[in-house]
Amino acid sequence: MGRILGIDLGTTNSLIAMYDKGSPQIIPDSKSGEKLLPSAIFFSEDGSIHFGSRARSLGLSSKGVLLTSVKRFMGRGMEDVSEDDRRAYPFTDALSGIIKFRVGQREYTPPELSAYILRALRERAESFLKESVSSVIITVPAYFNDSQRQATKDAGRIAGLDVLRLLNEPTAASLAYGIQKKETGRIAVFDLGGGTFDISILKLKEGLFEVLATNGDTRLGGDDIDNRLALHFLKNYKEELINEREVWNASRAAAEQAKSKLSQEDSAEFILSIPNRSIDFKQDISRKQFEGLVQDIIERTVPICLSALKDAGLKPEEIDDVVMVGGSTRIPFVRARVKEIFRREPHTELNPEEVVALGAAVEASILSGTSEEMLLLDVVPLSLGIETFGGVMSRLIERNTTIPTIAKEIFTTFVDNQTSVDIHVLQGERELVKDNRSLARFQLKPIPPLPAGVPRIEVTFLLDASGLLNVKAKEMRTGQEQGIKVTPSYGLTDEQVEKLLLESIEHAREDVASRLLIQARVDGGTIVAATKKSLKEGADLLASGEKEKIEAAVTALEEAMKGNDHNRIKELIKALDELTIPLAEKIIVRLGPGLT
Amino acid sequence: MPKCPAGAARASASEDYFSLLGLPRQPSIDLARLESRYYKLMRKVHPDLHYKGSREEKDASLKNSALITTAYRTLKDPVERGRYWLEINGEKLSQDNIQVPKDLAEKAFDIIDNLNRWKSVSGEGKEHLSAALAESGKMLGSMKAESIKSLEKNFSRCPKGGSYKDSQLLTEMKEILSRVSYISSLIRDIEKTLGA
Repeated sequence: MGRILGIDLGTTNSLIAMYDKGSPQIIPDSKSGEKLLPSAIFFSEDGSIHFGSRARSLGLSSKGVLLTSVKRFMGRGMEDVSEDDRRAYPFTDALSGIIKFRVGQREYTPPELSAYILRALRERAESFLKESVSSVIITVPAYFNDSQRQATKDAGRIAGLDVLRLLNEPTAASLAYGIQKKETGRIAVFDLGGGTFDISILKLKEGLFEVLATNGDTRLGGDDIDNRLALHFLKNYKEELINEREVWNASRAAAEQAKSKLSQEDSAEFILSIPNRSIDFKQDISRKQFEGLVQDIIERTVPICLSALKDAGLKPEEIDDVVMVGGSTRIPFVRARVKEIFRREPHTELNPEEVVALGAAVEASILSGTSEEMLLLDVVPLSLGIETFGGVMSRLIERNTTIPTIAKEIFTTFVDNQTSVDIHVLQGERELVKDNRSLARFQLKPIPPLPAGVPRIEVTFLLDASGLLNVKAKEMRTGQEQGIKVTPSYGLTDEQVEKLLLESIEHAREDVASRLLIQARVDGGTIVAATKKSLKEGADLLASGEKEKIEAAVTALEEAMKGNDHNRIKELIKALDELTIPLAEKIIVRLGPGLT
Repeated sequence: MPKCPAGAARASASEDYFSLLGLPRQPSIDLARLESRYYKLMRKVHPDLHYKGSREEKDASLKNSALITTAYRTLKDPVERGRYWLEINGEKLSQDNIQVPKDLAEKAFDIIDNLNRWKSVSGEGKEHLSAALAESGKMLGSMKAESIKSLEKNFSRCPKGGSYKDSQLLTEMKEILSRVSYISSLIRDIEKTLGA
């Protein structure tokens, strides 16, 4: 197994990092030097797919479909889609089950789309390191439930990656800070990103990071602020445009620009310009106005912080350090609020957009044994339970329990000769099944036909270090492993993930072939143009018959360039190259020594 | 190592949370020592340190981490520890059928009455009830803290020898624990009502 890399698969931006020479560092794009890869995918009308900044800019200038903030839909169902979401995304018409987007003739699930981003990060790392990459740690919001975590792991698998572990983002951030400070104390990590909010309270002691409590909201972040601003300005301009996807998405982008500027300055201008629609709207906004508009969104973080403190059994003044993570913590109003909650100045030394990926790289070093003094003890963010009689959830594992953890429960049959038992697994803090999140249905099957109550099946619910649920069952009389059929409520089955992985390998082959073809055509075009120019300039330098030979080679190459065989094009390029060398030399000699 | 006799212990010595964490088998424990033993063990067994191992090694690492963590959480909390202590001494405390402590009965009925009325009233009456319930919650909180104090006093009175079964201590501990359970469930009900 090669090097392990850390990936921050973010709502807005994604990063990949490595641990090298005793410290974590972000791997930049070899060409552009960019560290952030915008989590954006653009499906162009010509069938090509683009990622990152290129996808973003094409989304504004070209025809096609731009998908951003896909993370918000990981492990979720069509029931969860909001009005704002419907404005922004091309969902399929399905009313329930896993979310799907329609792009042209194809449908995509969030894990498939995230897999594109993961592949782009992998390519970035491979071209930087000049070695192949397969083992990774991917970070997730601490408050992600099992479906959302599973979806993230599925995305990794579809991208052909071996996801060794999922790591909670605030915990990752504390690792990145801890390694620099190496102290003992209690830390609160306030992580407000593009789409999610987490608060984690940790105890740090001699390299051991113990999470005491975590809480959050997986639908609270910078996107909500952008939507609020976009809505505000469109209402001031032409409210009826809100429901036009192109205008709405352009407004969100414009709102994001204004928001970022307001973190630096006292006022900013919202500029919405869509030339082909003759839309050109500008309006000023002051920082004070902005704060008034979004205050209630930011206020939502406060009770969540207080609840985490209560669960950790701590008062705000018992926190030694507060660490800020996520792009939205650049907003001065957010910083001020955090300072009020914890009664101290939060740490902002590390770049809030890089700190999670850096922490993931530190965790990679722990796994590979290079950071021996460090260890993480994380917790499960939500209670786990099963449906019992009367639609009530019976809790098996309480929230904020240190993971890995195990709970066992004995199941039996209710009627004679019953051959299967259904277990509905849920996550959440409410009493009734309907108020909690359905994770999956596990069917114990086949059970030998026996009188009711005789079969005794012990089911083990294991939450691993990534917070992922594994369910195993054993028939107690025989001691034999009991078969289980898993139906995820909002996810892909193992078979579906396998199928997607195979498809993506096929696509990858096609992708490589088409890239090589494009390159060969470009190279061919260059040499054809150069040869034609040389023939014009040096026709008199050629022996009889030579010109015809070269012209025939050019025609053959031009013919091949119309086809799809990149190897044939390459061969003919080489042949033409050899034929034209003598001519090129003669031209250079005639131009004289002044050139060299 | 001084040990309290196990009585009708159900768990074998190896399964015993006290011995698992290398502590003397007595309900009064050194919390700092508990924590440092826990951390030390986790630095050996945690799955992050065994991910390269065989399937069996990984499996054992998961299960051991889960077991050690359960042991730690149980012993860290005085109420859980007390309950566990009774259990390994053959005195399992019923979770479902908790009786109302006699001295608390009158207050408890008032609180339950208020909780029931809270759902049906509105306006000023509701505000008044909410304030009364919050006050009751505070009072119950300090009663719970007192009970835990007396529980810990009993822990330290745990005899280093002699038969536990005869000890009046077990009966007293049982009473305190069931009192704490009752108070805790009332507090939960109040929090749930006021939080809704």
